[in-house]
Amino acid sequence: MARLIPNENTWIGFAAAGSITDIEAPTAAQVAAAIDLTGFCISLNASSRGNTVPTPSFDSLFETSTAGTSAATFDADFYRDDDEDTAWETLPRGTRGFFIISRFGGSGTANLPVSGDEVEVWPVMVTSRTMANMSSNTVLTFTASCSVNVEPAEAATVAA
Amino acid sequence: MAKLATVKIEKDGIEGEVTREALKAWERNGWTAVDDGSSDEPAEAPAIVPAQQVRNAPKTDSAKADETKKENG
Repeated sequence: MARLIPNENTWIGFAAAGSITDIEAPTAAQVAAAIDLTGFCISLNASSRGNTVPTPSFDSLFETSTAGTSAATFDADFYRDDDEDTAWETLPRGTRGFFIISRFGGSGTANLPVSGDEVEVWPVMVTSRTMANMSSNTVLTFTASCSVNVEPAEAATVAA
Repeated sequence: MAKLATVKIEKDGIEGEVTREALKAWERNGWTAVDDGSSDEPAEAPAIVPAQQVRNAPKTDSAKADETKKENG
């Protein structure tokens, strides 16, 4: 067991809409075909949130609740690049696709997830792609905000 | 939101679909465009519907044409 930071461990890729047929088990080829955005990513927030529905009744002073719906949000910050602006060009507003996240890194070259590795697959649609405020002595970055249009696979395993 | 122009792409037998705007980035990563996205264009031009006639409003060309048609039987 080790506690780690994402640097030189995490791998992040973006797969085109329709290129992953089973988000619970993307194939190694489908993952390898994704655009590697690891080198552009500064921060990433892929989170899900559940709602609870209150179910109190007259026969108890304890306020009970039951499980309700759940939702997810996805946004990430990336660098711009005046030579190969891969992240910016890959994620225009309206883009559909899948973010593939290997938080602990895959077993392949440069942490690429391969068969048997665990990944998260987030089906998304980019709702906004906006530049960060420009200021002196600050690197140019942007934020991609996405809707999560299908329940994400948070414990998918890469298939052969 | 209006439907964006998309392009079907392919790499190593895997197919996908991306916006035309993003195509350059995917081509740099070894994907090739399968079609030019022309399927996104409507197959037929939208029908021309005469504007609703309102009293004292100027007649549109299509309304005038309708009247001429009626007069000629």
